[in-house]
Amino acid sequence: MTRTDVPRSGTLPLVNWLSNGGSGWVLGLIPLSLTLWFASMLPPIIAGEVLRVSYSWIPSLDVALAFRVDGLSLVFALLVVGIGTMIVIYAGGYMAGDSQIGRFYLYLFLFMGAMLGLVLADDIMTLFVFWELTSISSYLLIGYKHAYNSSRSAALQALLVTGSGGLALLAGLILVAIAGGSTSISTLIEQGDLVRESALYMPALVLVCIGAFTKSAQFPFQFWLPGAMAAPTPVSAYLHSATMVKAGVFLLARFTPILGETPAWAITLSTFGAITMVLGAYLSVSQVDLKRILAFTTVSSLGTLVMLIGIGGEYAITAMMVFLVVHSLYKGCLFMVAGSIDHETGTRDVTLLGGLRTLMPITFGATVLAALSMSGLPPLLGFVGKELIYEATLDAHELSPILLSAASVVGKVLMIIAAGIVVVVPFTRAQRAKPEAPRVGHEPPLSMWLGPVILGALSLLFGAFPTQLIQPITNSGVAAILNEAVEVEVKLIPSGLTPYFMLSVLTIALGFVGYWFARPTLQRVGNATEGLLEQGPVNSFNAVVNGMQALARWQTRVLQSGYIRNYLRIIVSSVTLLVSYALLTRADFSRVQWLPIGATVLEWVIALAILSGAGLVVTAQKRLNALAGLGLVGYGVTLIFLFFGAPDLVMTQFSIETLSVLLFILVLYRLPVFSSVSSEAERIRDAIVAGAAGLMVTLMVLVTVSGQLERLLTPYFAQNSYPEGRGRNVVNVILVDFRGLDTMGEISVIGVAAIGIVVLLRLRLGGEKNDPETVSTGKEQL
Amino acid sequence: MQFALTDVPRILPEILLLVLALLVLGSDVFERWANTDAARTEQHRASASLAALGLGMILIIALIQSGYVYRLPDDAPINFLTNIVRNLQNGGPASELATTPILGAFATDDLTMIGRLVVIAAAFLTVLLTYDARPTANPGEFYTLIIGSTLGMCLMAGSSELIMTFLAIELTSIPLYVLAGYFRNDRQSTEAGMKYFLFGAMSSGILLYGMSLTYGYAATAAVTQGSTGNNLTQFERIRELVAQAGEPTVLLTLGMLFLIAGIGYKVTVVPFHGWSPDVYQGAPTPITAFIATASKVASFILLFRLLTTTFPVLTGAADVIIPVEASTFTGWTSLLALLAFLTLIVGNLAALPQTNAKRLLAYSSIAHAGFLLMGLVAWSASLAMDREAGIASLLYYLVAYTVMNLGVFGVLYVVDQHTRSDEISVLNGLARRNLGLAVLFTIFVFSLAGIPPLSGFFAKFYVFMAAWQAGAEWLVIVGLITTIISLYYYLRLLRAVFIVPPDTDAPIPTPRWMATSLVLSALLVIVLGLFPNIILTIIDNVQAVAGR
Repeated sequence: MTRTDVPRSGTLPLVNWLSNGGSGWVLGLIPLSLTLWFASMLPPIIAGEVLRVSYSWIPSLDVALAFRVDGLSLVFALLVVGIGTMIVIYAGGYMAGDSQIGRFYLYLFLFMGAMLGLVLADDIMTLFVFWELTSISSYLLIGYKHAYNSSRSAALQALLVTGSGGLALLAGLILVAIAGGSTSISTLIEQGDLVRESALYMPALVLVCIGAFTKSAQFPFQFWLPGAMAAPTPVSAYLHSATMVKAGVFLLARFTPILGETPAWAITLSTFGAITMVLGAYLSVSQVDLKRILAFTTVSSLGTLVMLIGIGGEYAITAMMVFLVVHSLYKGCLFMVAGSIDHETGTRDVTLLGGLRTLMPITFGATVLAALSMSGLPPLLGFVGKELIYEATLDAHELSPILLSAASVVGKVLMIIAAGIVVVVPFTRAQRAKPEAPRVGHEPPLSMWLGPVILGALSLLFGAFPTQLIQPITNSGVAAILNEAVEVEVKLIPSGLTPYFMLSVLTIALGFVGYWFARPTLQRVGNATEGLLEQGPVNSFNAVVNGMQALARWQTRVLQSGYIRNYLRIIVSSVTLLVSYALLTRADFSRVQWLPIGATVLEWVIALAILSGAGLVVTAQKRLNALAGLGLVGYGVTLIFLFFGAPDLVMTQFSIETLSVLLFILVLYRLPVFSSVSSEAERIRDAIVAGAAGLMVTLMVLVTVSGQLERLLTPYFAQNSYPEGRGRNVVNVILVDFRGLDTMGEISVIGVAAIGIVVLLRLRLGGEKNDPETVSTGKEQL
Repeated sequence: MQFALTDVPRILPEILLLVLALLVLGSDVFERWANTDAARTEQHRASASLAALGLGMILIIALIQSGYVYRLPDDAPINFLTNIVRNLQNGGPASELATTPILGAFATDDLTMIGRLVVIAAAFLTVLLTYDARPTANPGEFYTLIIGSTLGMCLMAGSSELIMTFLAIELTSIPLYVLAGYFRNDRQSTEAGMKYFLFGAMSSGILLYGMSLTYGYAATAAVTQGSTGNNLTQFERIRELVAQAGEPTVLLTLGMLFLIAGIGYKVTVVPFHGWSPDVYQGAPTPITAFIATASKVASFILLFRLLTTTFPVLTGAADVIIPVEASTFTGWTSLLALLAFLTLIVGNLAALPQTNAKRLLAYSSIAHAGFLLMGLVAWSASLAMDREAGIASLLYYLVAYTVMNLGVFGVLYVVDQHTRSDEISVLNGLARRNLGLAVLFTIFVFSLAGIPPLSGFFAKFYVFMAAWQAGAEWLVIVGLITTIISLYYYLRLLRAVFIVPPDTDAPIPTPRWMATSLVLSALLVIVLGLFPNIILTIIDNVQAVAGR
C-alpha cells in the first residue's frame, strides 16, 4: 500500500481547492442527481403507482434482490439523498484539510448506498443485508475520529447494540417469511392476515420490535445514540438525525400492513414510543453539550414517530409522515449549526457560548427557523406536524387518549425548552466580558451555511403551503403504509377552535413559561436524576457485558485447565453419561444374569487378581508399582481369554502386554519420580468418574452377553470353517480368515511397539533431558 | 466385487496426492545439507513450490474430473484433449460408475468430490501461505506430512466402510500430530503435538469400541437372518441388516454413541473439544489453519455419511435440546442437537475473555462446529426437501468456513512472521501499519461474525433455516443468541485493528505469495456470499446421492 502524497503548493490550485473543502461541492453532485432522479418519480407515485424491479439472487431459496418504490420508500429515499447532498457539501467544509477525507467520503457513500437499499428493498433478505450494511458503515463513520477515546467505545457500543438488534430482526424476518410463506415484501403486504393469524406472530412481533427499537434508539436501548455523538458532526447530522436512526421507524411503517393493526402491536409501540418521547425530551433539557441536547431531542422525536405508528389509523400515520419530514428538516439543520459553532469557536458547551448572533448572522437565521419549527410555531411545518399529532393522540380511543395526549404535551413543552437552549443561549445571550470559548466565532464558509439555510427555508416553505407541497406526498406514503388509498388534509390554518388547536396553544404557552421560569429547576432535577435515567441503561448494558465475561472466565477455568488429564476426565464422564443414558432408557435388563452363578474357583482367582492389580495401580506411590499392577491386570485378562477358548487373542494379548511393560520400563528411566500425588478430594472425584465409567462398561458387557451372541457364533465358525475358509483347524481359520483383519491389526500393533522399543533402546539412557511431565504446565490465558 | 481397471481414474486425485507426497519427500534429499540461511531458504522454497504446484495441478485435475465447471458433451469430437477430459470425467461423480463405492469401501460420489476439492484447495492455500515464511527444519518432510494428511482427508470424505474410516482418520491424524509439534524447540508447539496425540489416541480407542460394537451387531444380525457374513463393515450393508432386523437393538445404539464420541474430537464439539484451544495456539499458524479447516471438513463429511447411511433408523427428532423423557431423545439428531447446544454456548462464551488471537479463533472455530452441527441436525426433518436443505447448508457452511478461517489465520500468520507474537495486542493499529492487510482481516472477521453480504452470513442463515424447518427451533434461538455474543469478541479483533493505536507505525510487509493466498480466500468469501448460487447448484448434486 503506497500512499501518494499530494504536494500542497500553489502550483496545483485545483487539488488545493479540492482538499480544502471543494471536494464537497464536486461529490455533492452525486446525491444531487440522485435527488433529482427520485424527484422525477414523484408524479407517478403520487398518482398511486408502485414501481418494482427484481433480480434473481438465490433462486434455490426463492430470495430475490428486489426493490420497490412507493410513497413510503420514496419519501425516505428523498430524505436520504436530499439531506445527503447538503451533508456532503457541508462535510467538505467541516473536514477541510483532513488528510483522510477520501476515506470519510467512502464510508459516507457506502452508508448512503446501504440506506437507499434499505428503504427501497422489496425482499426481506435484501432489506436485512442493507440493514446490516448501515450498521457497519455507521460503525466506520462513528469510529472515524480515532483521536478521541470516547469515540472508540461509542462506536463499539453502537455497533453491539444495533448489531444484536439486527440479529433479532433477522430471526423476526425469518419467522415472518415462514408465517407468510414468502420473502417478498410486496407479497407479504397482500398476505398480512396470514402472518397475523399465525402462531409465530407474537415471537415475530417481539423480534422485529427489538430490531427496530435498537436501531431507532427506543427505550430501553436509547443510550447508544447520545454515546455515538462522538462521531464527526456531519455524521451525527446525517446518521443520527435524518436517516439511520429512522431505519427502525421505516421498518415499523413498512411492516404495518404485515404485523400491524393488532392490539399487541398498538400497545407495544405506543407505550414504548411514549416513554421514549418523554424520557428523551426530559433528559435533553439538562444537557450542556449542544450535540447531546440535540441527540436527546432526537430520541424524543423517534419516540413520537414510533408512538404514532403504534396508534395507527390514517390520522396518526399522516401525522407520522409529516412529523418525519419536519424532524429531518429541523434536526439536520440544527446538527449542522452545532457543528459550525464547534468548528468556529472550538466548543459545543452552551455555558461557554454567547453572542454568536452578530458573529454568525446567516447561521443564526437558519437556526431560528429550525428552532421555531422544532417548537411547533406557525407558520412553520413543525406547527402542522404538532397539530396532526394532537389530533392523532386525542383520537386514539382504543388506547388511552388522555395519557398519550398528556405525554405528547409534556414532550412538546420540554422540546420547546430545549429549542430555546439551542437558540437563545449561544446566539442571543450577551457576549461575556471574557469570552470563555477557545476562539471567537465568525461566519463559516458558504459550504457550511448553505445546508442549514436550505433546510430552514424548506421548513418555512412547506409550513406555509402544506396542502400543496406536503399533502400529496404524505397521502401516498400513508397509502403505502396502510395499503389503502387515503385522503387526509394537511393544512396550516386550523379549522376553528378545535381541541387540537387549544392544546397547541397551551403547549406553546407552557413552553415559553417553562423556558423563562422553570429551566433552572428542571436542570437541577435533571442533573439529580441523570445518574438513574441516563447512566442506568448504560450501566446495565455494561453489567450484562461484564457478567457475560465473568461467566465466560469461570467456564473457561473449569473446562480449559490446560491439563490433559482434566480433558480426559471430561471425555470419560461425558461418554459414560451418554452411554449410561442410552443403556438405562433402552436396554433390556430382564435377561441379564446379575450374579456370577456357576463361576469356577479359577475364575474367582483370576478376577481377584485383576481387581488387586487395579487396586495396586491406583494406590501406588511409585511408577514401578503402578506398572506391576497394570501388568497384573493385563495378564489376568490374557488368562481369561485362555480359559474361554480364544487362543488367538491370548497370543496377541500376551505379546502386547509384555511389550508394553518393557516399553514402560524403558520410559520410566527417563521420568522423574511422582512429583505430587493428588489430594484426597481429587481422588474421590476421580474415583467417582472411574467407578461410573467402570460400572457403565460392566453394564454394557452384561447387556451385550445377555443376548444370543455367544451361542450362535461358535457353531457358525465350526460349521463354516471348512466350506468357506478351506481349513480344518478352526482356530487357524478364525485367525487368518474370519478375523484376518483383526490379526493384521494385531500384528501391526506389535510391529509398531517393537519399533518403538528399538528406538528407545538405541537412545542413550540418561541422555538429553526431555521431561514430559513438566510439558503440560497450564498455559491458560484468561 | 472386484477392483476393476476402471476404478483407477476414480481414485486419481488420491493416487496423485500419494505420488506428490513421495516426490516432495524425495526431492528434499538433494538439498538436505543446507547450512547457510540462503541455502535453507532455497531448500524451503523448493519444497514449498513443488508442493504448491503439485497441489494446484491436482486441484485442477479434480475440478476437471468433477465436471462442475465444464462437462464434456456426449457428442464432443474425439481427439487427444477430449479423450483426456472424457476419461477423467468417466471417473468423476457424474458417471455411472460413481453410483457404487469401490469395493464397497470408497465412494466417489459428489459428496466425496466436494470434500476433495475443499480439502485440496485448503492444502493449496496453506502451502501458499508458508512459501514466504521463515524456513522450517526439513521442509520436505513438512510438506510431505501436509500432503499425506490431505490424502487421508480425501479418503475420509469418501470412506463408506468402517475399517477404511479408521485408516483414513489415522492417516489424517498422525501427520497432523507431527505437524502440530513441528517446532521441536518451541515448548508450546511440542506441548500441542503431545496433547493432540494423546487426545487422538484416546478418541481412536473410543472410535474402535464403537466400530466393534457396530460390527458385532451387524454380525449377529447377519447370522440371525441367515445371510452371508461378508462385507459386514460396509455402511450400506449394516443399514440393510438393520432394516431387515426391524427394531434396532441397544447394541447398535451404543455402537453409534461411541462412533459419534470418537469422531467428535475431530470436529471439536463440546465436550470432546478440550485439545483444540491448546493445540491451535501451540501449533504453527498455517498448520492451525489447516487443522481448523480441512480436517474439520473431512470429518464432517465423514460423520454425515456414516450417520445417514448407517443409522437411518436411529435418526430421531431434534425438537428438544434437553431430554426430559427418554421418548423425546430418539436418535443421533437428538444427540447432535444437544452437542450443538453445548458447543455453541461453551465455544462462544470461552472466546470472550481470550487475549491471544489464535486462541480466540480456536474457540470461535469450536463455536462454528456448533453451527455446522445444526446442518446435520436438520436431517431429522420429515420432508426430504428439508433434509436436503440440511446437507446443502452444511456443505455451504463448510466451504465458507474453510475460506474465511484460512484467511483469518493467514493474516495472523503474516503479522506473526513480522512481530513474532499472536496476541491480540500485536494487531493494534494494523490499519495504519498495513491497510490492505487490515481490510482483508476485516472481511474475514465480518464473515466469521456472519455479517451480510459475506459468505459467513449466508452460511449461518442457511443452517438456521434448515434447522428451523427440521423442528430444532430452540437450537436456532440459542444459535442466534450466541451469534450476538460472538459479535462482541469478533469486534474486539476489529477494534484492535482499526482503533487502538499501535506501539510503532512501522509497516508490516505482506510477502507476495501470502498475499496471493489471502486475496484468493477473500475473493471467495465475497463472491460466495454475493452469489451463493455458484456453489449451491453444485451442492444440489449431492442431495440426490445423500437423499437416497
